[in-house]
Amino acid sequence: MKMNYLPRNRSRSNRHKLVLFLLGVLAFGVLVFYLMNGVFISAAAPLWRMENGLSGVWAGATEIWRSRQSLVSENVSLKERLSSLELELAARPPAPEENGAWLALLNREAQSDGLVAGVLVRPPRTPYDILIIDAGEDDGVAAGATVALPEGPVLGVVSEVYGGTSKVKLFSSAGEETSAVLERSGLPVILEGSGGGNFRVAVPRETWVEKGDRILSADVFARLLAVVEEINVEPTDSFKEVLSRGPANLFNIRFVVIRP
Amino acid sequence: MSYRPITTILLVVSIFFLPYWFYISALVVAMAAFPLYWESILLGLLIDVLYGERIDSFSAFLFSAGFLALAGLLILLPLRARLRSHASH
Repeated sequence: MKMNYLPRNRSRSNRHKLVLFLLGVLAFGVLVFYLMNGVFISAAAPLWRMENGLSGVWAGATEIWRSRQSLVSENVSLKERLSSLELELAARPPAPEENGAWLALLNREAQSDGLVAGVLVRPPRTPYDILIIDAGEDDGVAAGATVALPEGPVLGVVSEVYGGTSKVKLFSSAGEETSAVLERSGLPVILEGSGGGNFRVAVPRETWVEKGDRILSADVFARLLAVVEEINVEPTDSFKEVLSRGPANLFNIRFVVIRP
Repeated sequence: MSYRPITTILLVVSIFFLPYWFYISALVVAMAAFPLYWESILLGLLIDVLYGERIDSFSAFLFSAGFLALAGLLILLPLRARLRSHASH
C-alpha cells in the first residue's frame, strides 16, 4: 500500500515565512498608522459631521410621512428631556451655599462656562470608552482638559488633540482609575472604570453604602461621577465591591462642555 | 473582482460608520473565511488609531486590536493547514 506523508520540514519552513510576513505587516502598519495618526481622524471628521447632519435631515424629512413615527420620536425626545432634567437635579452640588463658601475660602470660583462641542463618534461605534468631539487645537482645546455634560456631571478628559477634533477618554474606560468620594460617608475611594459607562469600587466591609448613593469627584467642585447600582459582598471578604454607573447614557451624548 | 478586496472595503466602511460589535465580528468571520487574511492586522490598527488611545506601553500594545488580529491569524494558521490537509484526502 502506498502511503503519502506531508513534507514536514518544508511545511514548517513555509509557516515560518508566513509568520515573518505577518510580523512584517504588523511592523509596517504600526509605522504607517502611528506616524499618520492625526491624518485618519482629520480625514474622517468631515464624513462623521456629514453623517450627523444627514441623520438629522433624514429624521426631519421622514417625520412628515410617518405620523405614528413622529409621535414615537416626540416621545423619545421628551424622555430625553426628562432624563436630562433628572440628571441636572442629580448633579447638583451637595449644598450650594456651603459649597460656594468653601470655594470662596479656597479662593476658587465655581466653573460654569466652557467650550461646547458636538460629539462626532461615541460608543457603540468606538469599542473603547472614547468620544471624538468636533473641537480641537484650533478652538483652544488642550490635552488634559476636563469634559463634562452640559447638565454638570463630569465624563472624562481630553486625551489627544488634533486640528479640528479631539479624543476624549472617559473615566469609565477599562482600567482607568479616578479619585472620588462616596457622598454618604465622605470616604475617599478609587473609581475603577470597567467599560460601557460602568465603574467598580472596593470599600471596607463596614462602609455604609446603598443603591442610588452618589459618587463625587475628589476635587473642590464635588461633581457627580457615578451612581451606585449594585453592592456585592462575600461573607469571607473584608471588602465589598460597589458597582456603579455613570449618570449619562453614553450612546446618546450629543454635546459636551470642555473646561480647562 | 474577488470577494477579498470587496470584503476589505466593506470592513473599512463599517469601521467608520457602524457599531463595534458588527465590524469586529465581521472581521473575525473574514479571518476565518479567507486564507491568511493579513489585511485584518491593518484593519485592527485602523480601529486602534481611530478609536483607541495612544499606545504608550508594551502591555497596552498587547491588547491593541492590531496585535490581537495578528494573534488570531497565528492561531488560525496551523488550524487551517490541518483542515485543508484533511479535506484534500
